[in-house]
Amino acid sequence: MTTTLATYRTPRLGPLGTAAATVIVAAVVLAAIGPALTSADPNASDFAHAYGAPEPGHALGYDGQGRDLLARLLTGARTSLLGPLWVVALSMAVGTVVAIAAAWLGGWLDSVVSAVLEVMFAFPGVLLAMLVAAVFGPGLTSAVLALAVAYVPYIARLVRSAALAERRKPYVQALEVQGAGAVAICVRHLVPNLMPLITAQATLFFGYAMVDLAIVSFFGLGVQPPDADWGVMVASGQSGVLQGYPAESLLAGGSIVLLVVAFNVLGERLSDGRRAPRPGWFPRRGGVS
Amino acid sequence: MTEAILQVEGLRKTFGESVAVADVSFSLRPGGALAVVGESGSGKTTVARMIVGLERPTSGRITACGHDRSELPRSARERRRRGGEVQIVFQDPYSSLDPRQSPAAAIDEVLRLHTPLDQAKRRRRVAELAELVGLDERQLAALPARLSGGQRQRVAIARALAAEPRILILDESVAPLDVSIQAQVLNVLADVRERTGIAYLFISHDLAVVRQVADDVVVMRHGSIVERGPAAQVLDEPRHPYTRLLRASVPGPGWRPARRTISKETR
Amino acid sequence: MTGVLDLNGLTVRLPGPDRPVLDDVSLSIAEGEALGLVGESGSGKSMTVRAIVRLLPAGAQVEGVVRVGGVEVGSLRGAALRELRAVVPVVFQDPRAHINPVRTIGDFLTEGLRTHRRLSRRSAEDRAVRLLDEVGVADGQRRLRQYPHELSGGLLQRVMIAAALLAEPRLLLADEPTTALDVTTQAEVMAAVDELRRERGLAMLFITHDLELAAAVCDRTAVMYAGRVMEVRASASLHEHPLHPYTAALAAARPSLERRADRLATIPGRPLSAFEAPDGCAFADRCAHIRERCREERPALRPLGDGQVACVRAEGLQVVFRD
Repeated sequence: MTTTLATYRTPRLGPLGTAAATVIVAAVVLAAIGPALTSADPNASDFAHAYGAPEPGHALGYDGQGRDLLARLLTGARTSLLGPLWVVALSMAVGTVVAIAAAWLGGWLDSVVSAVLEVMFAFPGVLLAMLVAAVFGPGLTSAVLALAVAYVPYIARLVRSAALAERRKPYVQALEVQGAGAVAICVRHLVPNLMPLITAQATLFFGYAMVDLAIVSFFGLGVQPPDADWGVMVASGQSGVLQGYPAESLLAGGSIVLLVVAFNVLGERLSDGRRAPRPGWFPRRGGVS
Repeated sequence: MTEAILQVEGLRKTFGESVAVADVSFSLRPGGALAVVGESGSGKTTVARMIVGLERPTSGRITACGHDRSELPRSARERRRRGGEVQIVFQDPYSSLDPRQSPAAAIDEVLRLHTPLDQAKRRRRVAELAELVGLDERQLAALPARLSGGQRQRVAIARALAAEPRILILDESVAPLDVSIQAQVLNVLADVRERTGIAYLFISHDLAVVRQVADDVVVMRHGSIVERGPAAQVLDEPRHPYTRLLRASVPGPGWRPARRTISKETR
Repeated sequence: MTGVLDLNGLTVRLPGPDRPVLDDVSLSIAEGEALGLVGESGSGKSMTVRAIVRLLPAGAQVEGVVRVGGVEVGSLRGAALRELRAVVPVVFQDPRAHINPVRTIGDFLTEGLRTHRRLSRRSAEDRAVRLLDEVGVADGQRRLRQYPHELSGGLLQRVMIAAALLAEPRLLLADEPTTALDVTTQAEVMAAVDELRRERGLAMLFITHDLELAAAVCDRTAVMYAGRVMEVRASASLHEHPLHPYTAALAAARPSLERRADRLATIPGRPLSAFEAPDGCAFADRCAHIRERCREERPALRPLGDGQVACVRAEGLQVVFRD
């Protein structure tokens, strides 16, 4: 009798995945302890030092308003990481709950959820965020909420199909036959077994959210100056670029690119090949996946 | 004749146009062992799934332990009661267990659901059930990935027995096991029946296994029962041509695959 | 002696465990003979087939000699290896995994004939239809235009057998070809294989977990355990009068269709894979007839009666098993 042993394996990160994880951990640590690394005030302007070169105590020099670049970069790391964290946490929580409810209860609920998700696919996150900012006023909160809403269908679609497959497995059916409640089965068995998938998607979507939030902030509709944020810094560094001082835009943009790539690589390694498509900036044509 | 512990009357299930089960009736006496025999597509597994409530019958009546279970349970309490009446062990030992849960935790979860026992008593009960099916301490604590198919199937049996059901359905549960392991599990099942007076409904295609474990047999084909009777009688003196064909198809001493049949399948 | 297939001391090591997965396997198949290879999970029976046609996992190390029709297989490369696989076809358990689902049965059966043998479409199809008829598939012309998903498992397995016969092989390797089929379909497919084999003088290595099926369709049966051959002899006598304790225990553990046993004779423990096997006899820990020396020395496969057995106590146990 030939039976293939279904092994339960944790994904291997490999050298690239490990490097990506290291970059992410380093960024989080820097964002957490960052402001302690420099005595400079990120919001203190000193126009005498506008576009000033690096000097002792100001390792990266100054921006166009004479603010310490290192201090702004480190403070900006906080908003740049916290924003996507909220987007991901909200969209994952809502997407997972909706998906599992639809998969478990099936019937008309599943049909309704699927139809609603289909409509939501039509709203590109960035445009939605800008629309929300235009209506309710710019700010990080509205951008985060809008993006979270836009990401939900992508998460929900993937989790729903995985939950459907999981639900058909004998171990779940054995629990149903035992008379265990649906919520207990979902919370204790279904969700934990979907966690690897959800974690991988969360990692990938963190990267996407970072780019999308940076874009929104770049256009002045997200984080509001003078608060430091990498998207804001890329925008405010523009005039410096034209005058031959690209440091601010380059540093902020480079940080974004580095982290987005790191999240993408790590998410890819964790995802085992199953991943939701990248939420688009334009309405999607037809169905996805 | 004692009252049946499981009674199935006029059971029917259709999936769209196709009829999976057409008018099936049988009964199982307390402590009895009935085998539903058939090949793939005979509808035998659909019958099992309807009895445990994983499929809803299109029509017909299922009564277990005196309670009707043709309709969905109306309360959490009724759902649990049904769980304590009929349990099932599935065919595939590899997906029958939550990959993140040790056998001890899986059995304990069922005990918490069905019994008022405290933690210490549950632990003792887990040990008893493990002993009943022949699992040791180390296997009880291991994750399913570290257990063999036979060990996992024992866990599935112990987990089903934890609800102290009066009826246990075994849906091809020993089919994927190695011969030497299959014999161990079949003996365990015989011991459990002797000790607890549980009734078995075996869903199987394997006539030799059926002979070993069942008192009575119903033979299904294309959703209907074609023959029924005591196991020895049906297997030794099959009357329906299909039962004869099944019997003649089992390789054994002196068996020669008869002749090259030209397949008349239309597909 | 040169047969259709000769294995001599075949040992296969996979990367990782230091013990081999196939351990000193020696078997031979004569012209037109059918040899059954019976064993439980991890016995190495499927690995033996893979070693013969060199379909082993990457990094596998092979020792010993495999000869097909007197030609050593170990040194073959490239075109010669493909030629070997064409003349020693394998029929696997799951036909659907071995056929392209988007091509028709006709494409599958005639591709080789048309590209390698340069037959016209017409004559290739005629040949395929004749072969389908021989394996018991009527209405071949229609079948050729169908896709794999339109055929039942039993029909598809017959198509695979027909495909295996296209190159007019002298040896067929069958790895649990009927395990996934219903019993009645299994009987039909085995009948077709059996007749074809006799008509064509085709030799066969038949892998199965079913001792009785092997006894029914094979001239001789070999029993494997933990990557080693435990016993080989004429199927009838192996089944009736096993010499190795494992063979005897395996036969006794299987329920009988004829009568109900009070209790099945079980083998304690679980089947071991070769890399878990102890020194000495691989079956020692589960054997009811163990002696001290069984753990110390590894019993060699030696001639006894009408076959070979790898047990130091075989002579003495002969009497025990007869009762």
